[in-house]
Amino acid sequence: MPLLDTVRTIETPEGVSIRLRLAGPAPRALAWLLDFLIRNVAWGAIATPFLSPLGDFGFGIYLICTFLIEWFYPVLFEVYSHGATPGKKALGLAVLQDDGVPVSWSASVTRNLLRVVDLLPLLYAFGLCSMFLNRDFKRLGDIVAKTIVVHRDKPKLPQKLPPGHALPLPIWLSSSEQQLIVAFAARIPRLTPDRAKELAQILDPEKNNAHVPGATPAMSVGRVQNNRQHTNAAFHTDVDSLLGYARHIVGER
Amino acid sequence: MSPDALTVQTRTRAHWEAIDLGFALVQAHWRNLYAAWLVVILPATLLALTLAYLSNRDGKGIMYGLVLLWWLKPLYDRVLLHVMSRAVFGETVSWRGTLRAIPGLLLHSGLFRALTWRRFSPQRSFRLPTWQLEGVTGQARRRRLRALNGRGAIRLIFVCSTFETILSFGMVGLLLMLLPPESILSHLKDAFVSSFKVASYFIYLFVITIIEPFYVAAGFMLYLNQRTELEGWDIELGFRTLANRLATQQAPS
Repeated sequence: MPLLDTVRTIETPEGVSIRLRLAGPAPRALAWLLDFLIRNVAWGAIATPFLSPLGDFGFGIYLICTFLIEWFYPVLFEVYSHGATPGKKALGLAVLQDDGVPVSWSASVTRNLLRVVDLLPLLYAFGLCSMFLNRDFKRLGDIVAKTIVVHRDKPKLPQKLPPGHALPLPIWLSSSEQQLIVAFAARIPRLTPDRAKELAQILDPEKNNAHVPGATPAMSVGRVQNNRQHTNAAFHTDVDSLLGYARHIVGER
Repeated sequence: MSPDALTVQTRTRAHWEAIDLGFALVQAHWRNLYAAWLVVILPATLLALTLAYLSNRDGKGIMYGLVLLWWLKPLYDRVLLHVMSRAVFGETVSWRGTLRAIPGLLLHSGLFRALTWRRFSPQRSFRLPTWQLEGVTGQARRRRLRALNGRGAIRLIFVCSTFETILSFGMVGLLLMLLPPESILSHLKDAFVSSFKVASYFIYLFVITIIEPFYVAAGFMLYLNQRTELEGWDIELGFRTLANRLATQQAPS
């Protein structure tokens, strides 16, 4: 069974896979609330100084303006501002099409026109129920327009390492493995010292022989010899050395 | 708890993403969750309606029932978390298993405090796992709770109580939509007298049936996310993979 996550991986025709992190009803509702407040401010800003002196004529203009703002505010922002209305931008969200490409005019118009269904019977209750039921957190407009709403901002992690000396890596590590060492080093200040030591020890080959899944005894013998050679290469697995490797990986010398 | 056995993807998430993961958790395990929900909500609603019937001298009985239904939420939360905490490790709990677990939950999860002065805690669902699952008490528990940062929990309770409001109004709106139009006015007048009060009880019962599992699951995922961050679970899993790779001396494919 695949592990539960809100990430959807999409394979592009070029063979590149991109990971999209779906946004659920909670941040989307807050983004909607922000947009609603912004629209209200816009209505007020139009109505009071410019249109109220014009009487009934002004009121007519006002109604046309509110219509345009209500229906084209989301479409224009979604198409011209990287899929995000100001509310969505504040929450780090963006609208994309199901296949991960930026939202098109027709998709954006469709999903926003369908708000008339989502807002039924009151306060977008149908849209909310649809997001609860749909595995991709789609409201009815998203289902029809084939769009999704995703988290665009990366979670912020402090990548600043505590100062100290850098150690060159004695063994070859892939880029994702190097990133892992750096991530560990950056997290050290927030881990308890015991926990940091415990984590570092996972990499210690002497203590970790039992952890290979499906290893036969014969394989284990060969592995121990390998570890010997490995120890000669002096990949130290104490916290300070790992921190040193991390500094070297991020380019400190 | 060990991160190896988790059936949810271990990575550090922003608060909103952890909340979204909680919503996905309910979608993935809704059958078991609602079986457990029925086990606890049926007796609770029977109790509330009995109270309403017995106290109905001044016509306010149903309001007492409604308040009791709301007040007992920490009890329902415990039952839901019992099922979820096993679901994330790939175990399913039958409704009989839930029934057997209830006495333990009543006695050993701080229920009395949760129903009295902690009833109004905005971090209710976020702190529940510490009370129910960690098995620590007194000073140690207080230290644990202090170590957890509940900023995500405040957003969560705001969003979930908003969702409750939306669905309550939505249900009322739906009822009005389905009534014949000429009677809407008379029904609205009727709405503020007795028959509507009974309907309001069942509307609220329906609303918490939808929202409460999402609220508990999102709080639980915020809690898991905090522990992942504080204890480096994602690093642990990554280091295990790296250690295995180093032990067998294969370059990653």
